[in-house]
Amino acid sequence: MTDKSSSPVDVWARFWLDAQRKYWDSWSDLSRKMIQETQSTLEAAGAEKPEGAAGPSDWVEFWIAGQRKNWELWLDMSRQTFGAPSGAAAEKTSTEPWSRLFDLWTTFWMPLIPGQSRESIARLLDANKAYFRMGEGLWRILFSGFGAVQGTEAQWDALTRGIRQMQEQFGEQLRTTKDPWSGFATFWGMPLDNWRRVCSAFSIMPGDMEKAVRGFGSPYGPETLHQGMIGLLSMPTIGYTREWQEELQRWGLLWLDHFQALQAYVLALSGTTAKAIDLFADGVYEKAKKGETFESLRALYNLWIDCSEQAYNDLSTSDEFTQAQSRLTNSVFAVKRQEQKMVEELLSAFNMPTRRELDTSHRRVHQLQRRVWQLEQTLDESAIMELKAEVSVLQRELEALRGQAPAQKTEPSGAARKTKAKTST
Amino acid sequence: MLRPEQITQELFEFNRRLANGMATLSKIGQVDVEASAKDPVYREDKLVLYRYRPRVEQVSTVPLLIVYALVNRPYMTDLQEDRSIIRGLLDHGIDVYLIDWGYPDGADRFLDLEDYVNRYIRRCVDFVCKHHELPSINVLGICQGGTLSLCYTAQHPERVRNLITMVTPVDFQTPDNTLGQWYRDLDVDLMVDTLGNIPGELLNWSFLSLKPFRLTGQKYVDMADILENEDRLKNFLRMEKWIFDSPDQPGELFRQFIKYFYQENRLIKGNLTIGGRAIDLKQVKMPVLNIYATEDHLVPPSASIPLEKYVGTKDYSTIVFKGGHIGIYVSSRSQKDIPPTIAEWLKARSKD
Repeated sequence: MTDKSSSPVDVWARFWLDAQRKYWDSWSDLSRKMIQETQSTLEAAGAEKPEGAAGPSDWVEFWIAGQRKNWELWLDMSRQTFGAPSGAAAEKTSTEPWSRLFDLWTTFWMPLIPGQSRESIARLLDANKAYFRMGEGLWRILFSGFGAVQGTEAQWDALTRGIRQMQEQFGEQLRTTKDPWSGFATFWGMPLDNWRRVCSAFSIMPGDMEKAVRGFGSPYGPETLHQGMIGLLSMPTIGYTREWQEELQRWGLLWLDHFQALQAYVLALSGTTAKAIDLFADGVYEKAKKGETFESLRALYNLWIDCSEQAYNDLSTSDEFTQAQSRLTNSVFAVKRQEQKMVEELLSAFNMPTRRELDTSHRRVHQLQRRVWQLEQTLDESAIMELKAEVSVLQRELEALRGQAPAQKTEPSGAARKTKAKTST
Repeated sequence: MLRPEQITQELFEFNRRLANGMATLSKIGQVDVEASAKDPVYREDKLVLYRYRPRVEQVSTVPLLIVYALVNRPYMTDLQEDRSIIRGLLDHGIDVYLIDWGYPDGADRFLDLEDYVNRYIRRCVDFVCKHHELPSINVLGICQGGTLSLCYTAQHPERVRNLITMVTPVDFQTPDNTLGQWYRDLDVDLMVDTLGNIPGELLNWSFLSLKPFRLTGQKYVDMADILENEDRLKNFLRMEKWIFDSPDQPGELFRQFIKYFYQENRLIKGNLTIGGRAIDLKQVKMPVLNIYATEDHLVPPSASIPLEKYVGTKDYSTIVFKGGHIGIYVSSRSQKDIPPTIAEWLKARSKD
């Protein structure tokens, strides 16, 4: 940075770059040293790897150790200036050093950004964190492959194997998770979790209720639980509060329906990631077969985006997905509608104005406005009709006058033509 | 060949750009949009009709009224000095009017197609006609505004001298129309009855969901490349401001638009009525210029191209723009091609 001004942003930017430079320098030294050591060990031992020599997994451990060291350095520096993150957050850095560092960086940055730009920057940082996570994942794969084998094709094989491995891990995550959103929201930070935000924004009981439903563990499996809930929520209601109980039960049933729709939607979407990974691995393999190479992480990232869009497009235009999405949307609004109805009941009980009343007023104003507009229109039209009728009468009178006085027709006739030409424009 | 240390180098460089970019962002301040001077000449409810101030001597005696969509704001047509369709038209001597629909709120939820077509558009056209003492004027409808303009023109053909439709959907049920597919099973009655007006954010979500990886991921990774260039960054932020500046859609209008157009495709089936009167596209007998974009993911070409089949004109022209739904307003190619072509087409058809 050439600007030496002392605004908090500039101070922070300089601080961050300085820390990054140190981070990078020490990592580069470590990395160079490790690669040299491996190569000399392998050369000394011929093709066979000697027992006890450093292998790919050892390199990853060395790398993580190095990262931890740098992370501590970074933390020390940041502690001096801003205070430290919690212990749990620091713990995670051992496995995701760059993206965690990015998290920390984001946390420090955001309060310094002026309000107007904050939303754009949040999007920027979210997307870039996903990019970092991808870089981390690929780095790990390439580093493992790099230590073991040399040569273009072998390295791309290693990359493809690594991606397949990630795919398996991802599939496993999907099978075991209790969070219906985690599937497509976690793999390299795919950006589709905005649905969760949309659903929450339009529900009177945001994400919390969804979590509560998710927390219902049943030893008999989700279907049994669902059926059991339907049974409970369909029980006849009795007593003074019978109507209110019915409303609550209806709300519960609608919520269950929404939750099922959500699961079906997420299941339909989860196929996107698996397909995108397939396409990505195929793309990498095809390139290697042709003897071409990727010259940058960004080229790989762009390929990943292309594959993801292709996979998503194939899926999102299918009948299955369209129906799942519509069902989810409709179910969200059914819950919300029921919630509105219940809120209206409560507001009425407190003699407070309700949406229904407001709608009635707005509708009446609109109807009145439309009647006024139509009346204006009719008046305009009738005025035009009257004028036209008047002009016709005048024209007839003029013709009659012309008939009576044929000798004086030159001047008035010209004036009449002039008038007609003017009105016709 | 990509090497592990190269990834680190790239990420480091990326980090550096982000850090420097943050400093640029924090200094950039307010992002201004709209480049051309204009004056409000007519108001009704939240609608404002603007007339742009001429930049050169006007060569056409027939003014052009731009009817923009209700989705997003019309300043996309005049985003900045070097990205402005309106400025291009003014520079070619066209007298330009534009309808700004404003931001509908809860009190506007019962506004419907009848209000927009036969009241708002009609009154704006009447105003311009009266002001210029003309029986008819030129109309340019954009996107949803194009569909509304078609409806207006079909019912009031005597008031439209030449009609231009830009990225305008006509056939809403072509196989590659993803939005159309998504709306097919939507319970729009439930949605409107529940929400009243349809929030702009919800519409934005559906548009972003058409290409989520590019529009919510890759775009911002690419943004890091321009973070250190203040001019390019400002261009990006103007676009970003426009994309997320989304007014709500009046509930009744949305209900009718989704039902009649997307779900029932009435415009081309000939069974659409507005205000009790049928919309017959065969009444569109004046010259028509249809402009569509080959890479448009919101209004695919297949939705716009069929217009020719349904209108009654014998003077039908097309401009095919190689680009997307947004590029057609702001790309440098569109600035070079679109305004001059429109201006020439209009001039040839606006002589007394």
